Parts: sequence; structure tokens; C-alpha cells
Amino acid sequence: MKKRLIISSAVCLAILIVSLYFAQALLVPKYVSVSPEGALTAEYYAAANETSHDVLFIGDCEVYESFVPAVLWEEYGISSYIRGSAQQLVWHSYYLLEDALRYETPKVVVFNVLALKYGQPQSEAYNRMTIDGMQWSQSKVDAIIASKTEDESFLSYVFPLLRFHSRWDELTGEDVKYMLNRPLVSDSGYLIQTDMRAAEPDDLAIEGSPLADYTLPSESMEYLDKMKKLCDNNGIELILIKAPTNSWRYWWYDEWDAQIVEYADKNGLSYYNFIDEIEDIGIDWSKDTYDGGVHLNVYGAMKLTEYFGKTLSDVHGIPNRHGDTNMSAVWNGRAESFYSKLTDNIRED
Amino acid sequence: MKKTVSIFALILALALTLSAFCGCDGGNSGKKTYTFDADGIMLKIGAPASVVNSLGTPIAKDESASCGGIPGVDEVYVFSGFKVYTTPAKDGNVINKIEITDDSVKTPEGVAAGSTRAEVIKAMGEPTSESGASLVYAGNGMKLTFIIRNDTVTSIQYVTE
Repeated sequence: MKKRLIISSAVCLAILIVSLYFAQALLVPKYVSVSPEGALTAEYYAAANETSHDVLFIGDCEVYESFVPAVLWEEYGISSYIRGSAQQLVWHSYYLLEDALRYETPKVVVFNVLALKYGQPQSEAYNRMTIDGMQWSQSKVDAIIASKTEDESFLSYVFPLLRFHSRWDELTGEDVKYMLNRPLVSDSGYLIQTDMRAAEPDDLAIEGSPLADYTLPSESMEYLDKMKKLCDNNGIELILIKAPTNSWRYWWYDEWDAQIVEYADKNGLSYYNFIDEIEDIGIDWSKDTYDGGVHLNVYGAMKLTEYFGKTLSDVHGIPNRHGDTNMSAVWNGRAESFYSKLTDNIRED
Repeated sequence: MKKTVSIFALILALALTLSAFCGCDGGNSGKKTYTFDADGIMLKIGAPASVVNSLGTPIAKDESASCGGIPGVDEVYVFSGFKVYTTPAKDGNVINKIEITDDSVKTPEGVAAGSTRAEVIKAMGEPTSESGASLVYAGNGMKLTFIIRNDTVTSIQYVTE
């Protein structure tokens, strides 16, 4: 009798756990056709298991919309990955880098400095898009604790069903189709955009509003220090960049730039502000942006990638790996996938 | 025993009644709401963006979608002497920032770009706080900031708290 009770309890528990597992798999956002940015974090792991990367890009939308790893491979034989996400804050970047170092040790980490303007957690939606895709590790635990807003709970990251149970009335066919397996949305972390929406000409462009205080938050700079130390401890060169985009919504102030220049000088880091190099890069704001100058489209990103690739190769000594047979096999596949996607997207336009 | 229970029930009912009257009233913190008068049209933080249509044709306008496919677009409207910014909210865009950009317009209290720090304090009273050399006045769910450089107001901004 007792034995039957134990067995039946165990069976009931197993059924409950399996049901909750499938309910969670159904209800969590799939990030395929809607907000594909949410899929970027998770896509890294398969790529890291496939081949190593000499360059790791870390940062927000200015990173995953500005550099095309397939072009870096094709032009310079550089193996790279973009570990970007929407509104990735500097503590996100630090823990994503720490997480990546469990899988590989790149020669260079490239970090976009725009996110340093945020000293406090900003948005639950962006936290989830960046963190939910992380595999469980101490880095993920620390990322959640550092990032969560007042209304968020740690438990909702352990059991996403607690957060997304209310999505039942938003479910679409995609939620069923991609319950257990999703297609890749990015090309080595790059999210392709082929639309064109011209930016306003310079004389009509709207600038950012003046600030009361231009000091970059100490919380952000502490995480930049931690990132530098992490790179130093692993023999990695940290390169700071600012993407060439500069719209009123995400204005890059001269006062902030001066602080980054000073930081880079003090710490022996290279810093490239691509806003100052738009002419040399060849950016045409009437064609190379998909949203009026807030982000580059693929045409602008390919130009910037070719330009920066030369710097990575000639100045920072990132090797040309075309002679590595195994790596070439992986990258030829990735490049083919990217150019095929580019052609398909252009055809749809 | 019955008497004890009755007294307890009475105290509980009294406590519940008092808490209903003392409950949160939805956000009126007793602070002032600073507004901006744009040629007779009152603008304030949190107002529906549709009020901007009453201001006429802007000199320039732009919009910017959020990263990550989050629904909605932020907008900026440029008028002579000021800019109005809107952001998505539950029932459509609302005003989340008003910026006075030159001395052609003033706040209702009479402060304009070019006013001195002393003139601001004379018109507005002591600030709630200071940020660098700038003066911040906390309002109801918003704040009014006078950005000051070399003792002179260079920008006036109404923003969401």
C-alpha cells in the first residue's frame, strides 16, 4: 500500500514537471520573427563549440548592427563573433564576456562605449532579452543580480514561466512551431537590416539635449575597470569603440568622449570613435542606415567592417586564418549563409 | 470571551476603514506640476502627445524606434525656441520632455535661456537639489532643470521623474 502510494506520487510529480516544462517552452517568447534580438545571447554557444574566435564584439545594438563577421572573414581571414543584445548595459557586457571566457579566449575584445551612459538598470524587457538566453553559470547568476529592476525577481529567471505565464493570449503559430527548436536569426551575432531610411542632412539634424552633469556614472566605469582586468588576466587586448551613428536619441556627447579618451590613455587602450571617421569609412547617410541614422543597415555595416578589419589586421595583429582548414570549412558555411540571406532580403525589398 | 471578540472585531473594522481613507490616491504627492505655456497651449509632462498637433507645423520632426523590436516610437518636434519629446505609453505616446532652447520663450515663472542663477532662484525659490551647477526643481512626477554654465541658464528642461 505504502509502495503504491510512493509510486503514484512519483508518477504525478513527474507528470506535473513535464507539463510545466512544456507549458514554459510554449509560453516563453521565441524571438524569431518578433524581436529577434532576444535570440542573440543563446546563439553564441553553438558557434563557440563550432570554432574559436579571435575577436569578440561586446555591446548594444550599435555593435550587432555595425559589424559583419562574414565580411571580416572574407576580407581578412578574421574569425569573430558579436556577443551583442538590445540595450546591453555594461554589467551585462561584463558577465557575457565572463561567460564567453568559459568557452574560448579571443585575442581581442571590442566594446562599444555608448552603454556607459547608463549607471542603473533600465528595463525588464531588455534584461530578459539579454539574460534569458545565457546558459546557467555563476556569470548568469551575477548578471541577474546586477541587472534586475525593482519589480523583477530572481526566481522568474530560474522559472521563466513565472514571468511569461500571461502570454497565453498572445500565442501564435510560431510559439508552437519553435517550442523546442528555433532557427538561427543572426549571422555570428550580426542582425541583418537591408532597409534604407535616410538620415536628415547635417543642417537639419537634431542634436542631443544638453545635460546637467556629463560625468559618466561611476557604476559603469567600475564595470569597465572589471572588464579591463578580466581581459588583462586572460591575456586579451580590450579595444574601445564608438559606432559611427549619432542620433538625437542616443547622442554621444563630446564631454563623454573626452572621458573615454582619458580613460583609454590612462589604461593603455586603443579607442576608436568612428563618428569622427565617417568620411574615411565612406558612410553615406542617405543610403547606409535603415532608421534615419540611429543604426547602420547592412551596406553601412559592410563598409565599417572593411574599414575596421584593416585596423584589426594591421594595427592589432589579428591573424588571417584562411589557411586553417577546419576553421575555413566553418566560416565558408557561415559566409555562404550570410550572403544567401543578404540576397533573399534584397529580393524581398 | 464574546466581549473580547467584539472589541477585536471593532478595532479591525476601524483599522480597515482608516486604511481605506489613507490609501494611495494614485500619485498626487502634493508637489507642484510645472507646466510650459507655448503660445497659450499648456504643455506638461505626461500629457497625450496629440496636444502637439495644436502647436502648428514644427520646424523639424523625427522619430526613433526602440532597439529590440519593443513596440512604439519616440518622437521629437522642434519649434521656434523649444522642443517637445514624446514616448510610447499605455494609451499612446505622451510628452516625456520639453526643452527650452533659446531666449525667445520663457517659463510661466519668467525664466528664459540667458537668465542668471540668481534670477532663477528669485523666480522659482530654492531648488530641490543641484546637479553640478544646475538647479533642479522636483515636481509631481516630473522635474524642472535649469542647466547653468558660467552663471547663465543655457537650457531649461521639463522631464519625467
